[in-house]
Amino acid sequence: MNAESHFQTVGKILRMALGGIFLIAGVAKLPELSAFARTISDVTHADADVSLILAVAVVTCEILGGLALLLRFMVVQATVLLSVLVCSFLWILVSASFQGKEIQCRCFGILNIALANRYEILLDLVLFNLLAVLALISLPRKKEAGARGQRWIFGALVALLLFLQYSMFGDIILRRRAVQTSDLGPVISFLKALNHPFPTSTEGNRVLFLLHFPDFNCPPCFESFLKTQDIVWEEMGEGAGHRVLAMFKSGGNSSDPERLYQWAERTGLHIPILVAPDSLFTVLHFEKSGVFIVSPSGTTLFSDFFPLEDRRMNSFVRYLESDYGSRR
Amino acid sequence: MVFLFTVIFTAVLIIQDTVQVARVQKERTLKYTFLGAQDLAMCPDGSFIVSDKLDYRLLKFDRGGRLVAQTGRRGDGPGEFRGPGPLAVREKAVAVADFASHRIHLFTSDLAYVRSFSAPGAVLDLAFDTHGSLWAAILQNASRDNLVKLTSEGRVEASISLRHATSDFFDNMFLFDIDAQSTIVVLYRFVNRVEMWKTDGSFVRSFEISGFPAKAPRKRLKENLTVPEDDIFSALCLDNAETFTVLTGEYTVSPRREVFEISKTGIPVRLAVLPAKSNQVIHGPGNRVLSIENDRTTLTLYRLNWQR
Repeated sequence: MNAESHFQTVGKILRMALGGIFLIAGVAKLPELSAFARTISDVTHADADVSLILAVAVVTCEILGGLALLLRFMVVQATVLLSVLVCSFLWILVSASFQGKEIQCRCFGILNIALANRYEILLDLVLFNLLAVLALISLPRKKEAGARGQRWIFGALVALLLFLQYSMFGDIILRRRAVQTSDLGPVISFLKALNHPFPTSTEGNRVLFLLHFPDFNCPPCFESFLKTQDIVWEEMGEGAGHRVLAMFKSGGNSSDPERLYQWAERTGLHIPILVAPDSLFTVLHFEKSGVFIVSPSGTTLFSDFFPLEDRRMNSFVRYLESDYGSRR
Repeated sequence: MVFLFTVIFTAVLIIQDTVQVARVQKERTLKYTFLGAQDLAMCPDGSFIVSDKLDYRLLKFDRGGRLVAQTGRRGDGPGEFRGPGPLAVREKAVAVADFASHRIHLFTSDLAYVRSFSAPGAVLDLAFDTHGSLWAAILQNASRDNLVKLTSEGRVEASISLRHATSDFFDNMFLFDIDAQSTIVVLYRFVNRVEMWKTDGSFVRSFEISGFPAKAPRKRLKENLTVPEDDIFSALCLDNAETFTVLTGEYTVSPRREVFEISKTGIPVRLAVLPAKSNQVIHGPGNRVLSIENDRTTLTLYRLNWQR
């Protein structure tokens, strides 16, 4: 068996496997099209009609692309189409990860295969690479004397592509660092406009709570917030009050300042509180109460939603202690 | 999905055409502003008690709506709360559960502290039976015995193994109440399922309520954590032997405003649509309901005038 027939066998296997996966994914989404459209709407913030159109387009591409691969019809064009689709999935998943969101993508519709987002990213990367290999195999080739040299170039390109993907997505997939829940830039700008000392402090790490008052109807969230603020106060003390802030979403009338200050007094809340406009939270796509640790340089070192699991609470305390341990 | 439910629900109501609808008349809103009223219970003399979770207090109002007693503050000592929630009231006793600390506090009807004890888990709901025994809905993982009868010292005297309890934290969340015939009605919040039991532990029946989705759709909150998008039912109370009353959640034509009386076979028989979203309702004196509203800050009394 020569190299050409090896390529043909690999190409055939890839065509059948990828075609099957995309066809199944597309068909399985049909009965749950509205749920898939809602996922698109959640992520892209498009309105319902646009999301439904996008959902139909995605499903159509998947079915047609899958069929084209299976029937060996316009294979290169089909792989390009499906690669674009996979790249858009990757973009959505990575954006969600950087916003600290876990989205239920419903990518396999009624088959109900629910993977964690980082595994979805890994799966999409694998699909993207396999599509790329299939496209290369399917391109018409000329038999030339320099075939050996071309193979080296091809190998080097593949290695470079894999390295780039590893650099871009490795941290998310391997969870080697805290994923930033959101870009806090708008918050910092808002506080600077108020001449608040929080954004300009360079003494050490800062702790920011972003809170929705209605979340306090969830008892574990409420207790987790109180426990966290107790820990922060114990670690940082009164002198560091300007580096700790709890910002509340105004939520219409639901957290009017008077109610909030009354509640803070009754609770014995130590940390300073501030009511911020809803629009600020909208810009952040921030939908749940959470806590952030921001380094003096403005990097988000830790972020999570309430309630914090024990493991995350331990990480939170480690970040706090790592900053202040040397000075105690 | 919500639209689909709404259409189906409306269709079911039209087809059945047996639901008696009330004209709802607002009688008054209490002048007191709460920080986060969680539960309320009517005393036999017409006064009522409210647990304000965010104010760490229990408050008693007379039937005219005047504040006559209050107790509590944040803490773990006697009569102190971490967040008072579910309430139960009988002639001279008031029981209130502290969700975060898993403690149940007992008070007299004048809100004088009596004692506290620890429950076997987080308490979702409380009710006294006709013999004065306290029952609690307990949220505990890996156990189906989530409905327990407690002694006055907090020991579990008896428990009921619910038929639709699962290993899922949210699917296990339920409300319950006990009527004068010692029938316990259990209503799951995120699953459309009612179970009826007798206080002696005998099973009566289980059914779905017509016109509501079987289960609340879920959304993913964190990796490996999906939660219901919203509840199907948000409150339950019993008034007579034939029906029980539910406040609907998000999956109806008017979310959190519809108060249904449901027959004990699962058919909605009467409907009152409140003018504002409610967090909790109970039956008041006469044809009235008391409703916690405005993001748990106000309490309003409505009169229901039933008509065909």
